[in-house]
This record gives sequence, C-alpha cells and structure tokens, in this order.
Amino acid sequence: MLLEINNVNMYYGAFHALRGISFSLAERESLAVIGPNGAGKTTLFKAMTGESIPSSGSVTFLGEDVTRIPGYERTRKGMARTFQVAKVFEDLEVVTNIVVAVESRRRGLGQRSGGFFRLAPPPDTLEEARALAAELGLSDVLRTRAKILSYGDKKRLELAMALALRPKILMLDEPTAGMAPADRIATVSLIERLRRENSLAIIITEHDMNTVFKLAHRILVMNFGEVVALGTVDEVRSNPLVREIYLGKEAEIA
Amino acid sequence: MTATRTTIGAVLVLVLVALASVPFWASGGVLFLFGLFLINGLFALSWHLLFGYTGLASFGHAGFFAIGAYLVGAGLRFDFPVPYLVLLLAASAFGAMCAYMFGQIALGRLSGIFLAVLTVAFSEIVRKIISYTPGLGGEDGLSNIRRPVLEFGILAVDVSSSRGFFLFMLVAVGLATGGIWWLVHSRYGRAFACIRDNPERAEFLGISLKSYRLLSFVISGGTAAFAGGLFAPWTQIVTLDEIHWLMSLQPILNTFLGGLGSFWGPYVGAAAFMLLSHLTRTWAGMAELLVGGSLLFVILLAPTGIIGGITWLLGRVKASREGSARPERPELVPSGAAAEPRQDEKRYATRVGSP
Repeated sequence: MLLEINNVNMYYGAFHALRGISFSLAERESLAVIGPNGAGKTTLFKAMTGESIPSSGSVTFLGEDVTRIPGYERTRKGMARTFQVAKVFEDLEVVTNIVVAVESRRRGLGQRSGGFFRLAPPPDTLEEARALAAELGLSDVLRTRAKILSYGDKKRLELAMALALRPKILMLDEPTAGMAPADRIATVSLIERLRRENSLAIIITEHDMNTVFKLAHRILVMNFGEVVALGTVDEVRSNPLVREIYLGKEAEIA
Repeated sequence: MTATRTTIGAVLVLVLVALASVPFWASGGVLFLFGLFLINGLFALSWHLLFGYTGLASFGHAGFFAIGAYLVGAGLRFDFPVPYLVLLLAASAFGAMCAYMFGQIALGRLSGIFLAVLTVAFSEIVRKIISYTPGLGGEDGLSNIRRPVLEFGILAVDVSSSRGFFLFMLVAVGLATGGIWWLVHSRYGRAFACIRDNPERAEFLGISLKSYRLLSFVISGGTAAFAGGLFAPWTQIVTLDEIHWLMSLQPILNTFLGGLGSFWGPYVGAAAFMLLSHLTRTWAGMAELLVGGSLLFVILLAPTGIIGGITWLLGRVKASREGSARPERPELVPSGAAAEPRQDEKRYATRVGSP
C-alpha cells in the first residue's frame, strides 16, 4: 500500500474532529474525500500532509510511519500537495516558482545542481521548469510575476510546482474550488491526464460531485469526523445512508 | 548581464573609487563619518538579509553588533596575543554561534512578532552580561582601544592610522557585502525568498523552514558581529550605547530610508542618515526632530525608500519622454517582506505585521 491511515483521531480541545479514521490507498489510485462542511475533510487532509499531528493513530507512507514527520520531510519522500486557495510565490516569476521546486527536489535527493558558486539555476533545471510550464500551458507567462496571474493560472502553476517534485502521491485540496464551469472541466481532464502520465496516486477533497465522479476511483464519505462510507463511485452513489446525509441535498446533481 | 545590472556595476565601481579617495582629501571628522557609514551600512545589510530576504524581524540586532564590538575591543585594549584579523573573524564566528544557539531555541516554533520580541530579550541579556563582566568597563565601556597592525606572514600592514584603517574597512566591508550579494542571488537566496513569500508553500515544496531561517539568522548575526568588530578599533571606544535599543533601531531605519527590498538600500539609507545627522549636528535638540521628520517624510511619501523613489522618478521621466501612461506608484512593501499576517507552519505562530 502507498498510504495507510490507521485509526486516526484528532481533538481540538474537547472537540473530537476525527473519530478513528482508517483507509488505505494503492499506487496510481485516486480517492476523493467528500462530506458536508465541518465533516473533518480539511482536518484529515492536515493529518495526511503533516500540517498537524493527529492526537492518536498513525499515517504510513510506503511502509514508513510518517505520523510525526514534518511536512517538508514528507514532501521529500514523495507526498506533494496543493492548497484550496492556490499558494504560489507571488513575488517570483512563474519560471522561478517551478525552478525552486526542482531545486528543492534535487536537494532532497542530495544532488548538486551546478557549481557551488553558481548564481543562476543551471540549464538542465531551467529546461525542466520550462518543459513543465509548457505541459501545463504556462509557456506564455514564464517571465510574469506570479502575483498578476489569473486564478486559473495560479492553480495550474501550483500543479506544475507539485509535479516538479516528482511525487508518488498528489494531495489536492479542492482543486476546482472557485472556478468557472469551463475551467473546471479543463482542470479535471488535466488532473486525470497528469495522474495517468506520471503514475500518480491522487487524493482530492472536493465539493463538486461531477469532478468527484470523473476523477475518483473510490470515494470516502465523511460526516461528523467519521467515515460514513468508503467504496467505488457506484457503491457510494447507491448507498442510502450517503444519499440521506449528503447527496440527498444534491440529489439532482448526483 | 542586463543593462540595469551593468549600470549598477558601473555606479558601484565609481562609488568604491570615490570612497577609496576619501582618506586623501577629507578632514579627520569627515573621514570618521565615512567610516561609520561603512560600518552602519554593513550592519543594516545584515538586518536586511534577515527581514528583506528571509522575512524574519529582529529588533535586537545590536546584541550581535555589541558581541563583536566588545570582543574585538577587549582583545585590542588588553593586548590579547592574537592577530587582529583572527580576532575579528573569531568575534564574527562567536556572533554567528550566539545567533545559532538563539535560533535553535527560537526558530523552531517562532517567527513574526514573537521572534522579534525574543530578539529584544536577547539583546537585553547580552547587555546585562556585558555590564556585569569585570574588565569590560561597566557603564563607562572600553576606551583607548588601539588600532591594530595587520600581519600577513612576513608582510605587516600598519593600519593604526585613520587613513590606513579606513582603507582596510573598505576592503573588509566590500568582501562581506560581496559574500551576502552572492548568498541572496544564489539558490540559497531563492529558498530564502520562498520562505519570505509564503512559508507554508515553501514547507510543502520540501524546504525546511527552520534550517534556512537558521542559516539566514546565523549569517546575519555573524555579519552584525563583524561590523561591530570593525567599529571598536574605528571609534576606539565601545560603550553600552552600542547595545541600547536605539542601536537596534539603526539598521531598521537605515534600511527603510534607503529602500526595503533592494540590495543596496541599507547602504543608501546609511549614507543619507549620516549626511542628515552631519548637517544637523549643530542644531542642538532640533537634530532628532529633523531626522525623525525626514524619516516620516520618506516612509509616508516614498514608502520604498530613496531607491524606490528614484526608480519611480526615472520611470516617470522615461514614460513622459515616450508619451506613455504614468508608471504605477511603488507598492508599500515591494518585496512582500511584511505581508499581512498569515498562518505559519506552526498553528500558533504568525508572521510579522506590516511595518
């Protein structure tokens, strides 16, 4: 198994935000975590990425217990993530945003990029950054400061940065939040293509059911910090409990 | 190499040549001020490395400066059997070591205003230690610090004269500045910029916030101590004023005055500040008012400092020549060094607020 979440509990003071969550993810698999607001999706995401440490339980990645390992070390081991509101380095140019990701990956692997006294990124690093930018349709804005990118471009830049890390798993926190329907469809097919081409496993949290049904192999439904259902898209779709507590409200979409 | 970079390079060479000529025409008092400019500029640069490039605020930087000044001052005053260069480098290394120890404790969980407050506490501790250490002169400080003779094997360079020591400082400050220039333009600088810009994103790109913040802190502290180690033989007196909180304010003011976010800002600010204090030296009581007033003026009207103001003006001149639209006013904080508080890697830590 690539990622195993084992009986994870999280308390915020007396509030029990995650109640014994367990599931696992195979390589190249894609899992969507859904649930109403306040169900604990974000908290679970934080426990997986290393943003916060669960009160009990364990997170295992490639057979290694990473429960207490900080985010940057998890990233080096192959766990990449994006944020709900795209986080990029606004003051840096688009190409530099990707370059720092490539440099970080190389450093994590102990690879020297260029001579010690070198100032500019070495040609192969730049080339890799340019190729990634091209793949995500950012070639025209390479020298633009990320601050003035459109929202969709920022989201794609963030994806490019995550891919520059050559991760084994990509964790996407609401990848299509705040997007227009056309952008949303394009993003979904982009993510699906990237997953296939890079043999990635993907975990997404998402509100948009169309996105979920298109991207996910399996769906994990949460409510009040618990796993309500976990199964294939069809299983979850036909689960009466899920329909009642979650999809019931959006039955026409489902 | 871009056209701007070539221009900056040419200006730098001119400035260096001009500075090297100062000891040959200036009076003792003026030369003294030029020397202080070099020291204050480097001191401000060390602070700017931390704040402008890594996004960490230190309000107690005088602590590191004083460590260097007192160590070198005591070494020269009491004739330690150590060559000055070794003394200077050892003092810098000690400053860097103190920064490392402080950073190890503080940087794991703190950044922003909490860190800034802790640095004030640090400088106060250094102050107390120095004031109670016998031999360091207590409130009177160390006076009659002699200037050294530099020994390079068989070659000895006497820099005990003002002229000689000024030229020595020019070389030393130039080398230190060159080192920091390399640092902030290298891949380390890129990692610093990431952390300043968005610590959370940096962490999830696999950049260790603590390691890089610590690196920046250590180099900054070491450089501040280095500046202090030049200060002691230059002024030939070191007192507790060098660790007063006003001294910690100095690099901050110089950086803001010169231009936050531009590499040469601290030096431009230090020069402007030196000029202002010199011009107002006879206005007893009015000097502080004028200095404070001009700072207010710069911060309100040219928030990017002198360099930002000049860049903006040049842009306007160019735009009016080409008949195009007026350039945008400079942003308040160009480097994003002091963006709005946001969640840091630890849930309880926040970044520094707007200046």
